[in-house]
This record gives sequence, C-alpha cells and structure tokens, in this order.
Amino acid sequence: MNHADSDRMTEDLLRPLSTTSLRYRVALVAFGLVALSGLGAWGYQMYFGIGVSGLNWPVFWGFYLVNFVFWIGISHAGTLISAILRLVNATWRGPVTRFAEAITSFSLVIAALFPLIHLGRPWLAFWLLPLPNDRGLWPNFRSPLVWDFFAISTYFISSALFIFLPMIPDFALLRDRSAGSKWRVYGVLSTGWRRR
Amino acid sequence: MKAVYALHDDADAAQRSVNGLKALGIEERDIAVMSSVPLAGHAFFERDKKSVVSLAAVLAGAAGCAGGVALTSLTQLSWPLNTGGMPIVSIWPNLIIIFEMTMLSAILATVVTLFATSGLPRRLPAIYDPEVSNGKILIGVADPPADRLPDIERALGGNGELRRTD
Repeated sequence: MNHADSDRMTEDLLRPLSTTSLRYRVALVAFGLVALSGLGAWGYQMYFGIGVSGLNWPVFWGFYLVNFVFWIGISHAGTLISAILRLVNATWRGPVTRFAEAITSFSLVIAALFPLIHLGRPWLAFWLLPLPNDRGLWPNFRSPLVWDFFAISTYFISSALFIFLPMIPDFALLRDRSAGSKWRVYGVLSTGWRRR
Repeated sequence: MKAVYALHDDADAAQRSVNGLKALGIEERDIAVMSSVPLAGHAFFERDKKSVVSLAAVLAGAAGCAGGVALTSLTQLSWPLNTGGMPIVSIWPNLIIIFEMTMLSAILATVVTLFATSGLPRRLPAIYDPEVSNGKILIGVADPPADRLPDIERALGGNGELRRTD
C-alpha cells in the first residue's frame, strides 16, 4: 500500500470522529430516551420496592442476577477472544482484538449495573468499600455480594487498562491530526507518546 | 531542541543508519528510534528488550496477596460474626478476595512500570515527526555535537530523508 492509499484510509477511518450526521443525532436521542426510561423504571422500583421485579418467595434468583451473569458471560467472551488471538500471535488480530476488548469493557459496565440495581438500598452501596469507619464495621468477606464487588472492580480496572494501553498510539495519531481542545484532550490521552 | 534525523521507508535502511551512527561513535542510548509498528527481528529495535515489568508484577502480586490476607483475616477478627461454630477466619471464602487483590496489584504494577520505563507521560518534547504515523521509521540524534554534524548527516542522509529541527 503506498502513502496516498494509507493517508486516504486513515482519513476515512478518522472521519466519524470529527463529523456527525443527522442520522447519528436522531439515533443518539432515541437511545437516550430509552436509557432515561430505564432510569425512570429504576426510580419506580426504588420507591415501590424490589418486589416489582418479581423477586418473591419462592423466586429468589431474580431477573437482575440472571442478567448480571449473562453480561459477565459476554464480557468473558471478549476477553477470551482477545487472549487467544494474542497467545497464538495471529497476524490478523489487530481489528478483532480491538472489537473484543471493547466488548469486554462495555458489557462489563452493563453487568456492573445489575448488582447496584438489585440492591434494596442502592444508596448504601458504599458500605461494600473496606474503609475504616467510626462504627468499626467492615464488609462481610464471606458474602457473595462483596465477592462481586471485588471481582467486578478488578475485572473492570484490568479491562479498561487493556483497552486503553493499545489505544495510546491511536490517540497520538488523533493528536497529530487535531487542533485546539481536541489536541489537548488527545494529547493527554496519548500520554506524550512519540511512537518509540 | 536541536536534532537531526532521517525518515526511512523500511527497517533495513533504518538499520544501516543506526550502524552508520554507531560507527561514528554515537552511543546507542543517544540514538532515537521511532516506529509506528513493532519491528521484531531487527537489532536496532531490540535494544530495549530487557524489562523489569515482569519482576514488578510478581513483587506487587505478592504484596497484593499479603494485603488480601491481612484485610480479610484482620477485619474478621476485629468484629467476629456468629459463624455457627465454624472458623472465624476461613481460607475458602477469603480466597476470592485474596485472589482479586493479588491480580489487581500485579496488573496495576505492570501498568505503572510500563509507563515509568517508557518515560510516559512526557511533557518535554522529544524528537518526533508526524510522518512516523504514516509508516516511516525515524532514526535521529538529539543535540548532535557541532563538529560531527556533517558526518551524522551523511550517515543518515544516505539511507533516508534527512531533516533537521532547531
């Protein structure tokens, strides 16, 4: 591939980052309304109680835990794809691993919402943090909920780093093609990368 | 920062430039090498192969493991809950927390060490040319001694497109 083709391909790939179409904005508003309705439903549940989700005797494994496990499974699939492709050093893995790492991170964010949604008192979720306090209380490390907190936190931090680090050279590419506030943002994200 | 560098189309040309600079007595650590893609198999790209990242990850993992053991066992002893006759501190439920703390410490240490050994984040400018993003390989010398500048330019210019910065 010569330089003209390479430049044209780069411009085509970067164009969606600098321009938005009317269709994009319509889709953004539509999906934003869906997300807002979800927030409204969660508010309804917080006001009327967790029983509105069908959680009752003898149905203890509610909708939310099933969803949580489903999305964690999707996240693991992304990790598996990315890990296997790196282990076998597949030369064609570049775009596929980026998709896989994106799947991992975004589905994990969705999965992490469900333990919060299914809490009876989500405003007390900070009790899961092992911080010293005046009451001398600590999380119950035998509880699966606490295991969830630690496992999801570790998985999310590692997945976020896993998707961010390979993107540093791409942020540098965007920095070199930007100006103004975008140049500053991409400059910070690229951490001063100079393609060593 | 004053620098002289050349942009090369392929790794072999870059290797010739590096060899020319070394023949002039330029130290390897003073030769800037930049590429947008890894160039495994070429000597000039292998010079930074040794890394402390793995050692840092192992040590941090061990520290995380110890931290996880301490966090779970000390807090459980601090406020003992009724466990129906079972041990207050038990390895099996705590193992999950200990494992996660081990992994988290190892991962964070890996990333921090990676940034530290790469010299990132960096605020001071280094030798750079945007053409590196387009696939060119940059070989250059920052602040070259004035008396050797013609020789350096000759070593670089013969293999790639010579450029200077002031």
